[in-house]
Amino acid sequence: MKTTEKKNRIEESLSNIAQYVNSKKKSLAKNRFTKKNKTIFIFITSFVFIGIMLTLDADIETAVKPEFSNLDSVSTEYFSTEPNLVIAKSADMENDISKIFQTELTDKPLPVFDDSATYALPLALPVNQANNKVQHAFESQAINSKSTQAINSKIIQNIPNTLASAKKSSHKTVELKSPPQKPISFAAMEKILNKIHPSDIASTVTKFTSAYKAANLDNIAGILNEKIKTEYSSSKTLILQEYNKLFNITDKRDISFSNISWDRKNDTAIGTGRFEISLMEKGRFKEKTMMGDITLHMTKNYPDVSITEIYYTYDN
Amino acid sequence: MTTKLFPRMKLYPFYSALLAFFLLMHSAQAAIPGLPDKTIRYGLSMGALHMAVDNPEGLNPDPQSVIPVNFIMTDWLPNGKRYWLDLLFTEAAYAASANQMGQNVRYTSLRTLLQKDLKLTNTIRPWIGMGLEFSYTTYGTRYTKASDGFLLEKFDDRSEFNMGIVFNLTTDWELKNNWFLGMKLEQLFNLENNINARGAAAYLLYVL
Repeated sequence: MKTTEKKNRIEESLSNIAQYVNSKKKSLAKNRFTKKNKTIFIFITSFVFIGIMLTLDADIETAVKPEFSNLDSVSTEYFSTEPNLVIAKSADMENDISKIFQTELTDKPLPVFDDSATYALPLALPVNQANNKVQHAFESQAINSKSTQAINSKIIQNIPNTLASAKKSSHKTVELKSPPQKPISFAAMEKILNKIHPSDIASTVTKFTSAYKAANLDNIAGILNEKIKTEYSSSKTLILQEYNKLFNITDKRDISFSNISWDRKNDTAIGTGRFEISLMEKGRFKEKTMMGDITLHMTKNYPDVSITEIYYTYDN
Repeated sequence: MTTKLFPRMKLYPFYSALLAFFLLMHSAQAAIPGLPDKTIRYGLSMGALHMAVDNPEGLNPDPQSVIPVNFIMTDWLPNGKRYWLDLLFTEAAYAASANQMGQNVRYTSLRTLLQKDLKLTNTIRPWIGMGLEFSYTTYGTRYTKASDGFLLEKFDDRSEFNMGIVFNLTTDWELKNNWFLGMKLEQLFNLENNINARGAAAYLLYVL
């Protein structure tokens, strides 16, 4: 009996072991199948995703993204529906506008565009303010001849792929997150553009000293403001006559400024400091050096920076 | 022929006023930095003037060499040229003969010239000038005499305002402290019966 019982127990144990091994085998096989499915699933999903992405890319998304995150926001935030207005409500917008024109807005001169094209650009992006929606510019039936002109003009072509790609897109109306904001006036834009920068001052001083040294009266005339004032004269013509005389009676001349401290406010800058002039009058053999204090006033009328006032005294 | 080296100075009120005007005239303060405030040069010259009298009656005497009193003023013009003013006064006595009219000439001249810079080298920089001469001349004690000394004929005194054309060539060198030393050659052609002259002189200028 004992032997039979032992045999049965052994057989039972073996059976259990076999079951366990079989179950393990099944489990392992199932896992393998799951992993394989997952891999296939990931592959298929990826392909589908990539396919979708490529399709979208070809449509509008990637064409717009390099310049703007959202074409509609650009149309409402950066351009006014009124001609002559270009809107910049913040530094970021300024940067974006700079991007459009591929230049720094305030420090470098803007490229010269066809006026009609520039002014027509806002018209190409009409805003339906009544229902707070923006119609895509190139689907709008309201595109007028000026807009068409703008679309075909250089300015549109120069904005890389943005509007050109948008032109291809399907009919679309986008809800605005916020109502269109009031555009900044031309005067405000002018104020931004006319803000005088240290680089403006430096370049003007350099131009002045170069023209002075080279006896270039035309350049001096370009740097001096029409309403220039000095302590002894307030006529640009008379002042230019003096420069003409100076250039004519000297064989060589040089001017340098030092320790000039500039006080900048909006479109004007006032600098006070020292100057040194060395010149060789015709018929003389010795160079004459003069030093003194000088005050220069500059003003910026975008893109020109000019000297409006000069006051100086020589050292005794 | 006699040469009067030091003519008697008789400056009339007009010339005194003119001289005072020149001396008092100063450059205005320049509106621009660098332009010298004082560029007018004043000075005097010392030299010989060879004067020939052109009488309306003929009988022109031999030319006389005199040393005039010559006041000079010059300054830049805006175009790089310069003006040159000579205020000159001299007297000359011309000897009489049977065919030459003796006379005492008092000659006062204001010459205004425009000079152009001729840059030859850095140190030699002559100026060539051309301009007009305005003069007032008195001719007194006009007569001719015979070889034995007796008077042949006496002529009326005359005085005239005249105009002439004058050319000069000047060059000057900077000494120091705004002093300049220069030389000049000049030639005067009268337009009427007056004085023809040419001269050479050294001059001293000062930037006042």
